Amino acid sequence: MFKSKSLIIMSLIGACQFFSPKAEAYPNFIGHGYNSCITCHYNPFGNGPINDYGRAFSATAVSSRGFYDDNKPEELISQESGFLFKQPENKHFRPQLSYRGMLLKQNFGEVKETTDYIHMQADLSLVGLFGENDKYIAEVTFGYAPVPRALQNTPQADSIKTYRTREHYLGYRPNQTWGIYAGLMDKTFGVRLVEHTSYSRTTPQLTMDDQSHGVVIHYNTPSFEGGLNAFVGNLTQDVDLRMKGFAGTFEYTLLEKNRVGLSVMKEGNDYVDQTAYAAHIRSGLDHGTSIIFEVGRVEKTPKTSSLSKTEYYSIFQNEIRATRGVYFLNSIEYYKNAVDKSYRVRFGPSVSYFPRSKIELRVDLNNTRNFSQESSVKDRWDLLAQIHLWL
Amino acid sequence: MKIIIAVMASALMMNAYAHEVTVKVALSPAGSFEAKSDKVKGEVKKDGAKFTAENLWVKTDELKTGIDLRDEHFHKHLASDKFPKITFTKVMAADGKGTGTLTVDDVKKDVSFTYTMKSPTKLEATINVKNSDFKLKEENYMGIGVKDDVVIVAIIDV
Repeated sequence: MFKSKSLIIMSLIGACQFFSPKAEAYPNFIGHGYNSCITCHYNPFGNGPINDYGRAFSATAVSSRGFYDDNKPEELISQESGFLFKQPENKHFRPQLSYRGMLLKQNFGEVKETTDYIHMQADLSLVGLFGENDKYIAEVTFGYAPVPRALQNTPQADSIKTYRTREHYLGYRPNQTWGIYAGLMDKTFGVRLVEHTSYSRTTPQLTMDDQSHGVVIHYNTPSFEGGLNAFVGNLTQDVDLRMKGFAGTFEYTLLEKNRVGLSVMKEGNDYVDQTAYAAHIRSGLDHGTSIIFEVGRVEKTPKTSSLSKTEYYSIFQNEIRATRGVYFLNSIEYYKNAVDKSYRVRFGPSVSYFPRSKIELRVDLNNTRNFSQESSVKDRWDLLAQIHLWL
Repeated sequence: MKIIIAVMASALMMNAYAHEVTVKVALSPAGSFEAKSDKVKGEVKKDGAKFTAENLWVKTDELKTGIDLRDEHFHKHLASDKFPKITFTKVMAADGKGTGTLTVDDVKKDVSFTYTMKSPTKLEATINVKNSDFKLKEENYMGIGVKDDVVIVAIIDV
């Protein structure tokens, strides 16, 4: 009974991760000279709402100005990057609305092609900033969270709340080097990619619904950045499901716009223990162009059986800024299950177009190949067309 | 024909002094940017193992950071309308070290630098300076500041 329950839970956790939303960090922007998320995000490890500078940077450097009048000053575009196209009216509160939707065509071009439109995210965030140099921070993000596709039309779907908070925390940052944050946050592990369905996020279970209540200590200097995270699970979950443990990620700067990093995470609940390790490199090559490489190992050990599982993953990304507003991204991913020796390879190009401030359009074409000694599965192409709006 | 020769000679002259400069600026609390120009003017003379230059200069407006708005802020910060040039004068260098006078916003500062030969005809010099040495005010844009330490890297044709 326990064995089957733990296997079901492990499978559901894995299945939930596909085609669900969240993740708004752009670690590729190390190519713009931004080697730390804290320059543009309130959360020092990215995700969640972006700060005033991040909004201005997005409007005047990332987004095209093709839809603006030629005579419109950049300074005005920057000022209009605030909430509802205005400069902030007070220094303490920063609201943000964010929406992501995706048209998904699985088995693209095949007879069994399916088409779905998914409202991935519709969030309202509010950030409060107080004290000298905004050393006290409070943040809450509340919004729509769809039922994961794997659970749709199942009895479990009825128990899933589709409106909830995925992030809320209180922070204290006495100086630029140190910060401490407590609340519901993403765990500090690996490179927090925007592609939350990448193997580097799904394998260690760090996707859109895997936030945990806990404490994060952030340390940041030009040469070294690190974060330690102790967590007790998401307190809205049943007690037996909460993953408790710790995580840490550490990055060292090499040659100005290159960072090498190590991460570790150990967690567990009543049914499974999990240990993960990862190493990564992020390199800014030129203005807006970068590469990212991460490799990791995850051990999952059920407590009620001997069916432990060791998984490996790697991801390589190359982002190229073609011109202001247009980025090409090439990704190659690898995943291996050491138990049955099956492995998957996924690769594909994507293009992101920011036609103007507060709008991102993105198209991905992914090819997934499954290799298994026990079965043969045809390659699959998926087409993903996404829209991201924020106010 | 004379015009063609003049144009070719002009082009060769320009190639002869294709100096580049990169100003590396660190942001606070994190991040950095670079302001670059490949239009540094001035002649460097070589005498055995010694290098001298009377006057190397770059137009402030020709230093580009890759973001238009940041260029505006950078040039305004350096008061490019009042002080259109940054100059490096009385330059003397030998054995991997050198000195010169850097002038920014009409403020002169004697600085030392190090250099390495990247090829028989190119040297790379590195100068560490502080914004405060040139009485440049502290900058902060939407919560992100500029740190005081600045690194200047110049690729000089010799």
